[in-house]
Amino acid sequence: MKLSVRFTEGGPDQDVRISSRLWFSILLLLFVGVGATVFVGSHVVRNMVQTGQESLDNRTWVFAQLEVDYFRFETALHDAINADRLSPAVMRPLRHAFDIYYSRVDTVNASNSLFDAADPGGLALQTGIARTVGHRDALAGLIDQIEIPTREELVDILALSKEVLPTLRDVTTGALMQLTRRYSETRQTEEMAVKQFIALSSVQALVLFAIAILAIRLAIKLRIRATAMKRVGDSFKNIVEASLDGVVLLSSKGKILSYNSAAATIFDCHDTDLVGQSLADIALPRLRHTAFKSDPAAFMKSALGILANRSRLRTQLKTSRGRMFNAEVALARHEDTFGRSIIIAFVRDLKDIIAHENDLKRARDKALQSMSAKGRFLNMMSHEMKTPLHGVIASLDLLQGDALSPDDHENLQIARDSAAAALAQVEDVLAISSNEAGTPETTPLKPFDPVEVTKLIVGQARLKARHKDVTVGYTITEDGGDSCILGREEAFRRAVANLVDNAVKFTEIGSVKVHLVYGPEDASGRRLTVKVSDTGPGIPPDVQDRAFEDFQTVSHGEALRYAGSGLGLGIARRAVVRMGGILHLDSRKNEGSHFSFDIPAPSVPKPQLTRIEPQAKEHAAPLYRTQTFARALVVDDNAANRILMQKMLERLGYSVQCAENGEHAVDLSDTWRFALILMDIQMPGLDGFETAMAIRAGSFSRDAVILGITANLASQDAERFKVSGMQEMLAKPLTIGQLSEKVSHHIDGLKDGSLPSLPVVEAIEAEDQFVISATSGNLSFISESMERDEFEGWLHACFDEIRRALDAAARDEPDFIQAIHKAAGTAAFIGLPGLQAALNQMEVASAQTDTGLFTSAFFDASEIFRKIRVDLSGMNDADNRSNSPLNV
Amino acid sequence: MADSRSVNFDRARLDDLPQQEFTTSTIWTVGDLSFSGPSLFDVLGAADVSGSTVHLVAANGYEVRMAWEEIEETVPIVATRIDGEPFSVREKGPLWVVFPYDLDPSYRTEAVYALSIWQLTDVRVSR
Repeated sequence: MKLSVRFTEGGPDQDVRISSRLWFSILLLLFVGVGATVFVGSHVVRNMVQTGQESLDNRTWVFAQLEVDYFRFETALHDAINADRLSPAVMRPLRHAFDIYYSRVDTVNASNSLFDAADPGGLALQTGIARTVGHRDALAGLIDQIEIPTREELVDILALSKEVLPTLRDVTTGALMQLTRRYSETRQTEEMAVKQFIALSSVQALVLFAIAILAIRLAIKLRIRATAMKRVGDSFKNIVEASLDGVVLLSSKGKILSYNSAAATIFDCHDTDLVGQSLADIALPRLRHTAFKSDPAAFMKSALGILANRSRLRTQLKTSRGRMFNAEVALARHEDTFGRSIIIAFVRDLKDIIAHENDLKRARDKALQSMSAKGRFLNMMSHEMKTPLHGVIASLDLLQGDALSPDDHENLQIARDSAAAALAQVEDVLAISSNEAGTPETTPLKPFDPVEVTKLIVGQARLKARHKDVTVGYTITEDGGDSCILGREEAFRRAVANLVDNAVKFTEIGSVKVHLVYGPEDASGRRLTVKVSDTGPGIPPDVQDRAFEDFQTVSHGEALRYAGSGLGLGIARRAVVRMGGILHLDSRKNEGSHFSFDIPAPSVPKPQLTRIEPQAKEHAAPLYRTQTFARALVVDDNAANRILMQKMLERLGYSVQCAENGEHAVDLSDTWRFALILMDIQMPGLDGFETAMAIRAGSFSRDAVILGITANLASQDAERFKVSGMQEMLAKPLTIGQLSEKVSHHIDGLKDGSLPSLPVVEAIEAEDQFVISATSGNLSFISESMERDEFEGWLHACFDEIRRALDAAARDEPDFIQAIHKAAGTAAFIGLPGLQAALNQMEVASAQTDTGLFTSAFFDASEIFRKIRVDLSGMNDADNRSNSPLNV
Repeated sequence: MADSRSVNFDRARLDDLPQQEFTTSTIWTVGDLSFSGPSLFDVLGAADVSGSTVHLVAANGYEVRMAWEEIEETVPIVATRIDGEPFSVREKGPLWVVFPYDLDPSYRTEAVYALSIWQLTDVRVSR
């Protein structure tokens, strides 16, 4: 038996333990006490009995009566002597008295053995008794002989009788003395026994006293323990009761033993008592309840098994009224005070938590939306600003040849530099915001040569740095293998170009160096380390962390000095991350900056640089023509685009109407039944998506094929595209061939009853297609699709830019590379991919300082440009427009 | 006493009553003796008397009183024989009120010894 309770509530750890030793000693003391009492008691009783006090009393009487009986006999003898007449009748009372005396002497003699001859007076007493017996027998002999007595005989008997009197006296007194002594001895023995008894009783009393103390101590401890346990129990009960989780105590069979009010709230049973009911009956939904019913023990076992590690399980439960709710459940096995197995179930209603989570999700989505809205706004703004900036630059360039004062020349140069800086800024912002849009990297890895890319960048940087006392160079450390790697060329170019630009921008004297270090091919694959070092002012350590953040420069003063937006390093950092690397900076004030990153660089064979032969792919497929009379609608806020689209659709056999905004488009589509609608996405007022939705919502033309047109196929529009009900999104610039293909696909597709398709990457892939047509059929189309004056004005500016770029290249002017770069963009914009490709080729060749390739590309570009002009002038000639500004 | 009644028992009459027998030592004799005779209870029953106190009187006039309730059905006996033989006045006879002293300590008390009257001559019953 071991009662052990530990409670740690408040104060030190009091261990109230009633040890087995204490119990044992109490029991032992009790046994000893009872044993001693029994022993002493029986000892005393035995002593009392052994002393034979009763018999002593009686023997005293027996001896005392000896003389009495003798004297009665002597009296009877006297009576007989004095009788008037001696007769046998006289003898009867005499004999009777003698017989009584006789028996008395026998009785006295029977006590003879009681006395010890060794005792003082003992021997005398025994002798006396023996003499008395002898004397009695002598008397008996005389008396028994007499039949009729004579007086003489009686007197003789009397005389003989009297002889014994002294002996009788001696015997009586001796016996009394002996018996008295024996009696006092007995008393002493008894006294001893009583003393022993008292002593033992005292011991026993002490023992009982000790037991009583122990018992009291025990009682106090038990009371303390009971109080403590009650307090612990109360605290625990309060804790459980205050718990927001439902707590249900279950028997091992799943019967409810008790539960807190949170559980009552969760199971909606404040008005009924659940104790004794099965929790499974109340809380388990039908399917699991059936499983429980079929084998409760196995169900409980598996439930406990699942929740053994005390992890919480989210599941569906129902209330006592049958309402289902999402709950979080934990089970714990425990033992109650009697050692029986019990189960504690913790239940949490997730309604509020889930609602809270949903609120958070909504808030997050809203934040993300507004962030992406901001991003889109930035993206759009940058796009919008690019065109006017191009205009400004082009116009400033046109001013160059005019007669200007030296001051105005300087002002013009400042204006040109400022415009160029603004354009660069806008392009940086565009690069960041399109990254920011957060599209995961989906473009596939492609083989490219980092060395070639670096050469190009260094070439461009040299041009920028030539007015300063700064040299730009690069080194390559190769560990065998090929310099060509599988990766993201665009990201690599962006990262290195920005780092180099940054270095050149901030270095006034000294050098900018790019180091490419190819690592060895090992188990984890080859890596390429890129370092860009300069001898510029350096970046103080305390601001290095901020250096990579967007819109950061080291200080406002320096920002003003270098007029940088601080986006370059941010762009570089992002590009490095996209390649799977981290951009590091090692720099000290006035000791230059050393940027480095390393990226995975799997080796691939160098692709053969091949000339792309012009081919008339555009004309390969015959254009689609609608078979029946059908109406089409073009919606675009840009008049030029509107006309271009109109002309294209008319070519495909449609009767075309135009709308300059969404509202107008909705009106028109409710008036006419259009089979096809081309919808510009970015429009003031209703945008393309909203317009499409409005048309789909119930206009006459709700069944039309609606194709979205956008210059920016940003993926964040995918969601809006889906709900807008458009069939497809097409990227600008759009050729008649592409349009024909898409229209035929969707019109025929609709006839076949197939589903509309999602925006596809085909449009994006079109960018990678090197569709080179020496004489673009598209261009003639543009000329058709605009009012002549408008078209001519527009086209003139474009062609002039390209012409000036080519001229600049021919004269090897300082900024010709930039001019060529911009010209390539313009060529793409007006739909001349062949020219664009040739101009790109020039750019690359220049960077590589590959004179042969450059020359070849230059002549290609010039030839294509010439042919286009010939075509256009031909058209013009046919139209008798001899004064065409294109006729140069 | 006006209503006193006397019943005489001779040896034959005592022998007619149910006999008890036991062997015991006494403090007045040497060795174990076998006592036999009717119980006092049966004797009183045979006399058809009742009362609260029984007076036992010996030949020498010695008298002891015994409460009626103390008389058990078989104890004491009015012994008529010792070891199967009638015994004389010299041997504390012919009648001796005897208890089975060895049977129980409660028969070895002062009171019981006092009641063990020999040479019994009269048994009187008073209310």
